[in-house]
Amino acid sequence: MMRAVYRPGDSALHRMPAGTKLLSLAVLAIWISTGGWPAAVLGGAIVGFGWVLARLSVGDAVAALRGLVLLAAIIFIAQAFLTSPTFAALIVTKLAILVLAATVVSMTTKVADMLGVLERVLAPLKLIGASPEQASFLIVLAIRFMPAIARIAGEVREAQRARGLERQPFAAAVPIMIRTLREADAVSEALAARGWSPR
Amino acid sequence: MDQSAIVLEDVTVRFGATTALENASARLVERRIGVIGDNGSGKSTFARLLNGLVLPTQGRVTVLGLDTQSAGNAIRRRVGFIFQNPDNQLVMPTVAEDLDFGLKAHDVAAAARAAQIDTVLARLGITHLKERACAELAGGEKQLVALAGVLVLEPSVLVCDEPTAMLDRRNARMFSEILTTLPQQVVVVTHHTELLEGFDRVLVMERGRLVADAAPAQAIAAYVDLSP
Repeated sequence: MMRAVYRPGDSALHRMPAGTKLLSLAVLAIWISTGGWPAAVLGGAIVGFGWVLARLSVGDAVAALRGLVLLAAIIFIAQAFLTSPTFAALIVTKLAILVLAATVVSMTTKVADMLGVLERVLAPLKLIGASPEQASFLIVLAIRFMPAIARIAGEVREAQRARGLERQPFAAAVPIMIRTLREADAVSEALAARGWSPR
Repeated sequence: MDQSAIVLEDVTVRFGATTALENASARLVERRIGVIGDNGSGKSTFARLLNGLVLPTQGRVTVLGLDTQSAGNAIRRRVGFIFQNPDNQLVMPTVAEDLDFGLKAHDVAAAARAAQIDTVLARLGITHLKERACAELAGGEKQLVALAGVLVLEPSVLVCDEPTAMLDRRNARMFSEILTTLPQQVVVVTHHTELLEGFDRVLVMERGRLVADAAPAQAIAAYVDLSP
């Protein structure tokens, strides 16, 4: 799971407008997703150049990819079985490049700036009476609380292991859902206490 | 109407068939007020009444002259709230962004926000945390950032619901010391009676009722007498 957050700096990527970075990320993602090995290699080179430009380290790349290992392994095995090992390797390579591309954007862009872009992109929602500010904030909030949900899942699974229920994955589903809903309730209360209200 | 105090007039709060608070009346004017009681005694409901997060089923709560039934947003601007778990209170990825979020929610002009953030961080001695990720902070640091997020709005009253429950002794002590230096009126709901040292007044709750209201020593003694 991606947990990269903004890292202050004054690199060229930090100074680039958030809209330009997000648009570039979207174009790169579509291009890499739909292309073959040449697109993956060239896309990887572009992301690598961005990584250097943003003055991020190899350790940052390892940290960004660490959460992907299990998912990548599952995808690789499934694709190797269903298609071919070469195609499986291409899919996993593309996934890793996309995660690194998203990470470099996250680490060089303030959330407030991303919110501003999202609000502009979602502005047409006003036509159907919805609030772009509210929608963009909910997206940011969902990203922010992914680590919290991962923590809840980890704690519940650990408790289930302690009870010898590690072979029953569904035994964890209900407590994870209940705790997540409780936490959502608490966050909603805290938002109200801090004066946030839908506009 | 009392413009300088928090006033509860014969307040009852029910959640469905459960009565969380019954016929509570109090006029809170002291600078440091504690609320103690066992789990389920209604003290968290009491705290939430003070900034309109919970509304009375019967009776009335006024804060600095404003009725919580009709002026919730205005009251929340004046009454900051610190929760037990800062993880739920910190909603933005970094400390600076989180503080900015609160200011934006209250429509503070962009030009003033940066200066207000720097001032409150310096006041709490946590300027070095400004660009850190909230998720990566230690428990005590998170609670200080949550406090900064409230203080940056310059509230008149601060309500804290079990603010040290998730902190170790050292951080709890540090948090408690910071509370004593604040110019605001502070209402603290807690199990940790040592947190109430130097407080002006302590309310004791049991099963949804205010059963004692006295200086800390007498109130804590009354609370201990209630325990089986």
